[in-house]
Amino acid sequence: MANLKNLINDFVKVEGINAAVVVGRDGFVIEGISNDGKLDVETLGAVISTGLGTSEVMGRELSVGALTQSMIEFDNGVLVMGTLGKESLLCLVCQPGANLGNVRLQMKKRSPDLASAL
Amino acid sequence: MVDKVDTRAVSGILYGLYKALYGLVGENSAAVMRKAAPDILDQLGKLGVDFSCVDDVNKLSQKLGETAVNAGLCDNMAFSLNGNELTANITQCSFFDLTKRLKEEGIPPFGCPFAALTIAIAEKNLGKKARLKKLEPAGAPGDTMMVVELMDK
Repeated sequence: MANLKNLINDFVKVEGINAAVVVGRDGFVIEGISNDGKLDVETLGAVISTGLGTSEVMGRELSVGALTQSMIEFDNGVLVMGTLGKESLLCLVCQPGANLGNVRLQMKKRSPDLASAL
Repeated sequence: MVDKVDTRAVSGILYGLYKALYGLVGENSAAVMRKAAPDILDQLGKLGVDFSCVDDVNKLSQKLGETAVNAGLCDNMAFSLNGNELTANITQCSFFDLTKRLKEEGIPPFGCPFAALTIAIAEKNLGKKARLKKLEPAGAPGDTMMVVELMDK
């Protein structure tokens, strides 16, 4: 888990990313960090899991394949989420002005390492 | 003392709810149970089934087992702790057929009330983080083994 913690720590050093959380599909928070300490990552597990779950089912119903990434924009932030293997999910909480292209690229690049650290 | 539960009626309701939930959030349905469990625990307390006295695994075994048996949810529930794995052997689980039917339809046993309560009690009263690791038939038809992993917070 120490390696996972380091990898998550590295994520929040990417410009524009405020928090990174790895959760199980059961909503269990495996690891999470918020770089300003304002976000209680422990409370996010079930919300992230079910939020992404709905999108996955939508994809299945529309026959567009498995979900790889999901992005939701809010007034004060952007969530970028993706799957880590079959059992886990990654959610990044970003600032409104974050470079989302870079965030998505970083997620794509780093996800295999995160998945193997689980 | 708790009232006996009409497990056939409850199974019918749960079947519909679990199937709908799985249809909406898929594999992630287990997160709903994790979210619901603390409220179930609180509500049971308000209804007179209080688990606040449970502060170790032996008491969990005694209290949850006694409650489940008195409610007619199973014939026996025996816990054992091996390292960080808490195993419960549930004899003649009333939800066995429901779980089996859902499994036949491709729906995993995410909604097990025993697992939800065990996890909620472990996290609230035992000061641990807890996660369902295994839930599978074991022994005679109707018997189930549940394994919950406990971790320090």
